[in-house]
This record gives sequence, C-alpha cells and structure tokens, in this order.
Amino acid sequence: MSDMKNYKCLNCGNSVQFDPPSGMWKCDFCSSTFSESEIESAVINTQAQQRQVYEEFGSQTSATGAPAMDLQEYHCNNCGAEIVATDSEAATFCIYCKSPIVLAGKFKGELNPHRVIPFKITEQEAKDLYRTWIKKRFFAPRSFKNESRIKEIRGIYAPFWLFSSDVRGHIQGEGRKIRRWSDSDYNYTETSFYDFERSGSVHYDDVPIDSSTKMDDELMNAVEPFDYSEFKAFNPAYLSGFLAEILDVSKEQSEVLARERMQEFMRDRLAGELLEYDNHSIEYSDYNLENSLCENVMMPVYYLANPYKGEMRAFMINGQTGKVYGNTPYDFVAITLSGITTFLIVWVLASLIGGLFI
Amino acid sequence: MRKILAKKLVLLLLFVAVMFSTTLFSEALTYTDIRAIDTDKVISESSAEDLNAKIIDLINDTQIDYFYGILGPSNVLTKEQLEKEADDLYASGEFGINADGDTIIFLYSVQNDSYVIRYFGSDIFGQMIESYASHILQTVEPHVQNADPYSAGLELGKRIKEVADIAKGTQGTSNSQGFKSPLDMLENKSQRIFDDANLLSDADEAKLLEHFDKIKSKEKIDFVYVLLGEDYPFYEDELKVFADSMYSKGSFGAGESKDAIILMFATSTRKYHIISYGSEKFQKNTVKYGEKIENGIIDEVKDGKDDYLMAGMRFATLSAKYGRIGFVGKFLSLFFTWYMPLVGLVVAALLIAVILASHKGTIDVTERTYEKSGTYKIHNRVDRFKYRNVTKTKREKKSSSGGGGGGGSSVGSGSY
Repeated sequence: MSDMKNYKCLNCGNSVQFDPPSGMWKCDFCSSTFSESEIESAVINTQAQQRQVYEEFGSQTSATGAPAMDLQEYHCNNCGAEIVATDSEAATFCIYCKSPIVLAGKFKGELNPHRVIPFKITEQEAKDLYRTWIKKRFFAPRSFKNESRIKEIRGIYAPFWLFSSDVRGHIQGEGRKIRRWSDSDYNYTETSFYDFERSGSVHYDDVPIDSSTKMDDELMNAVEPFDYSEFKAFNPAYLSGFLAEILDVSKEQSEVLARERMQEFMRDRLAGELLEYDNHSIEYSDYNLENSLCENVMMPVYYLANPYKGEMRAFMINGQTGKVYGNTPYDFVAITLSGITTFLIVWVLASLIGGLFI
Repeated sequence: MRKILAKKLVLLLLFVAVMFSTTLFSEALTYTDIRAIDTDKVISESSAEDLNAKIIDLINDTQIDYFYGILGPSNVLTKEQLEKEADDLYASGEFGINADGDTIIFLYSVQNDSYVIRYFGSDIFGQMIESYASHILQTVEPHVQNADPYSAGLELGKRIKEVADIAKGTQGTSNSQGFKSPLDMLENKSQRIFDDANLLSDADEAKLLEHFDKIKSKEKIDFVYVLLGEDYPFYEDELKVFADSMYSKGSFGAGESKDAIILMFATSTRKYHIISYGSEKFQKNTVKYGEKIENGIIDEVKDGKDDYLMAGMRFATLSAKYGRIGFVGKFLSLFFTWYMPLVGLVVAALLIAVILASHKGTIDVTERTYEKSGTYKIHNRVDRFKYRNVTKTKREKKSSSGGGGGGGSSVGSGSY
C-alpha cells in the first residue's frame, strides 16, 4: 500500500508541479506559484481515498524466462482514471489528465532518499540542449538530427548511492627512462630500467553509483558530475511533475562498484606520480578502503529516445548541468565521403606545400 | 764552447717542449720518419714498424703526408676529442711534404671504436678527398669494426694512393697501363662528348651534340657525356673524382651560374656516375629528382641493351626536365609519389577516428573529480635503478653535398 500524493494548487485546485527555473511549484492552469512549505501544507493525502488494486505478478516468470515486472494499480485523484505503475516508479503522471502523481508511500526505510538535487533545466531547455548537441555530431544522419524525430523525453529523478571512503593505495612495477643522442656516425638510444613503488592515501567524497537497474549505467556515468552544492533535504514535492525511480540495487551490490571506481581513481592518481619515466608498467597494486559511508540520494536526468531505422537510440541529459551523452547513429555515407574528401584535400595540400619547400 | 752550450740548450728546450706538448703523438712532431704511432702497443712492435715503413714509402710515392695514430686503453678518446687532437697535431708539427702541405691524419681509439680521418692542405686536395670519402669509409670501416688497426691503416694508405693516382692521371694500383688525365682528355674547350670506349659513331655523336645544344640554348644547361673504356676501370667514387677534376679544369657550364651536368660510364666496370654543377637550385633539383633521371638513363643500357646514344639523349632530356623543374612540376612529381597519398590517408583516418571517438560526447569525470581537496598524500616513493641498455644504429650518410665551383653534387651512381 503506497501513499499517493497529488499536489494541488491552493487557488484553483488544479495539479501543481515543480518549476526548475524558479525553484517553486507552479500551477499550469492559473499560473500561481508556491514555496516548498506552502505546497507541503496543502498536500492532499489521498492514501485513505485510494483504492489500490494490486496485481501480484510476484515471482511468476514470463514465457521467455525473464522475471515478470511487478505492476500496481492506482486511481488518479484528479480524474479517477486507473494508473498503472511498476514497483520502482515513485512519481508518474495520469495518462488521461496528465496530472502529476507522487507515490510518496514508496519512500520508506532504506528506500527513503536523504537528499535530492532538484531539476534546474526545463524539458524545453533539455530539448534545445539536445538539438544543439546533435547538430554538432558531424557524422549523425541528417534525418536523425531532425527535431521532429524526438520520440520522447522524460525528466527522471534517478536514485544513486553516494559512497565516501578513505582509500590507501600501493603500486609497484617497472619504469623506463629513454635518452637519445647522435654523433656523426651513429644514433644512440639509452634505456634505463628502474623498479618503482608508490604508496599514498586520499579521501573520496560522494562517489555516485547509479542504483536503478532501469537506468543505463554507461549513460548515467557519462553525464556526471553533478554539482553537490545544490543538494536539498529530500521532499517528495520536488518529484511532482517528473518521473522518479526508487532504488532497486542494494547498498552491498553498489559498494562493489564503488570500490572498483575508487581503486581505479587511486591507481590513476598514483600513476600520475610516475611522470619522471618515459613509460612504465604497473605489475602489482593493492588498495584498502576504510571508514566507508554511503547515503541514498536522487539526482535529475532527462532521458531522451529517438528512433532510427527501427532501433531506439537513447540519450541522457544531466537535469542540473545540461551535459548530453548518447548513442548517436552513424551516417556511413557521410563518413566515407568525408574520409575521401579529407584524403584528397590533404594529398593535394601536402603536395602543394611540399612543392614550395623542395 | 758557447756554441756547444747553445746547441745543448736548444735541444733541452726542444725536449721540454715535446715533453709538455698537448698532443699524444709528440714523436711525430720532431721525427719525420715516424708516421705510425701505437701509444699503448695495441698491435705488435713488428707490425707497427712494418706499418710505419709502408706509410713512409706511400708518402714518398704520393707526396701526400699521412700520419696514423693508434690509441689504446690508456687513451680512450671520443670522436670530438680525436678531431681536436688531430687539429692540434697538424697545427703543432711540420706536416706536408708537397708545396700545399697536403696531409691526412688518421687517429683511431681502438677501445671505443672511435676514429677520425682529417685532411689538411689545398682546396683541390680537400675536394678530392671529400669526393672519395664514402669509398674511403666503406673500405676502412670493416677493419675498424673488426678492431684491426693494422689493416685499417693500410687500407687508408691504399685509398690515398688511389686519390693521388687519379689526380696525377695515372692509376697504378688497378691499371699499370695508365690513361689520359681529365686535362689531357679535353682536346678542345668546346668538346662535350668523350667517347673513349668507341661506342658511338660519328653520326651518333653529331645527333647527340645537336640534341645537347638544342636543350642548352633553351635551358642554359651544359651537358657532358663521357664513355670511359678499358683503360679506366673506375668505380663510382673514382668517377666522381674524375668528373670533379674534369669540371674544374675544363670550361663547362652554361648561363651565369655555369650549370652543367656530367654523365660518366666506366664501361669496363659497368659503373656510372651523374654529377651536377652550378647554381644551388639546379644541383638541388637534380639531386632531388636524381632517381628519376638515373632510372631513365639506365633503362637504355641495362640488361645488355647498351644503347649509349639513347642513354645520352635521355640524360639531356631528363636532366633539363628535372633540373629546371618549376612549381607545377614539383607539385605533380610530389603528387604522384607513393608517400603523399599515404600522408592523406593517415591524416584522413586520424581525423575521422577523432570525430567518431567524440561522437557520443565527452567524459568529464577524472581521478580527481571526487577527491576531497587536500587529502591526497604520498607516503612512499621508491625508485631503484636496475640496469641500462644502449643501442646504436648507423646514421645514413649523404653521398655528397651541393655547392658551386669544383665540388659537384652526385645525382646518382651505381652499376648497370
């Protein structure tokens, strides 16, 4: 049983949603805006009024053998229509009246986020950012760059585990210094071989690990970093007007990934202490993580899907910084033509420049 | 009594001067019959004496002074130190027995395979040695590689004899018959075709000369075509020395810069050499496109074809084409090389790869993004030296350099 919250306008009673530019809650019908405290006082808790129809797909599996998705049925507070949400969805919309609905009851215990970074970029701004970005993808097919092809864009609060830890690292291996000189007869190359060791420590703060299996890890990592100075204490009201996922990856599972990430950072950091060598190879490394802390937070992203030749291409936009990343298709004709053109231009130019100097 | 005392004083001063002289080969400064010195007895005493005797004979025969110093383990010198030692030695002593003081000093530090061959004296002697340098090095180098100072010294002696013989117009080592010197070969100043091998008929010579003159009047390039017979069993370097000598003694060259190009065939050894003279631009162009000129000529005589008339015709045509090549010609010649399309291909591939790599977007997270400021500390930094490797590779040497006057630029040489 979930608490179902529909944030209503204090003036006209229509649904309100979070407005990223103003940081307030806005009524699309009468244009009234409300602060966080105002909107909280007007929350209509619909929990008692709701009839929740729960269909237990539970442990049943589909014909393909994949686990079946747990679905829950709710009724829209605004129009009464049935709303179906998966277990991991914490905020959604009524598909009939478009009212934003926050399933606040889902945030319980470990699932309750401590902090949230509110959306700073509107959906329109996200589309504009994507459009500007995709125009710069030189080898993306022209038809794919067409704005009308944007199939869907969704603002999603994505759950993350943030891990903090003291890390001690040790690397050792072989470093090589190369010196070259010549006399009138010979070219000489001297390679000096050394054994090196480097040990160090560092504290990593708030390394994010995407804790939703629905979100693509590569895309989520690629739109980092977020600006943590804009974290707010979690309030379900921030989710109004957006989709939200609750975490479905345990802290223990995420910790493994966090350790790998921090070890990789530490290894690169210690390798940066080998600049006196012209090249090196690390033969042994060892890392210890101590005083680890973690917390559950939500951070804003826009998920944008764009179909191309029957395949859905996914893009992620950081809902706070506007950074875009995604799987752009390639126009192989353009690549081939560009390659041939560049080849010919360089061939001619190199011959012209060469002709000037010989 | 005073005279005897004065003489002794002079001898004492001479002895002190020798003792405190900066050179390692002080004996050579005072004794003209010591021309091979082995400071650390690297070779046997009898070999050293034999070497010295042969060098003295060579000096008397060629009138070119030759000093050979062998340095052993107690005198390991670098190339630069050897050069300085040779220069100091020449400056301190009385070297050179001919009027120009022509001298070769060969210093060899056996311990580190380092050696120098320095020449001193007249410009013409220097030019001849320079022309012959690659041949000298090719023949001396193997003995140095084998750490055989005795043979290296003798080999250099043979080369000096060859240079002296060519300069004199007699080549005693390989042909006791003798031959005309370049000067003697010039029957008249306007002669441009020298057919010592009798391979061209009078009609051929007339046709060839007409072709030369036609191009000469248009392009201002003098063409000299030399076919050497049995009396001239020359190799590439000897042909170069011979050509230089011929150019310096004849009145070749067309236009203000006296541009000329000489093609020499030694038909007995089936060797050839093409050398250009005159303006820097002409020499540079002919060297740059030497392979094209060379290939065009040699196609007419190789594999038993032996069409020396056609070889001469193509020699003039190709020399003019590439010697006077303009910007468009240079562009086209570069454009159709194998490496220019490769440059285009590599650059295009790199550019496409870079664009494709950034197509998804950039990753902004680095190893420092989530690092708390000021917490990174290095606790241990150890570097232990293990061992050192030194590899050396031979540098490629250019066959010759450009410049006007007596020294020409080798356009191409080889066998056919």
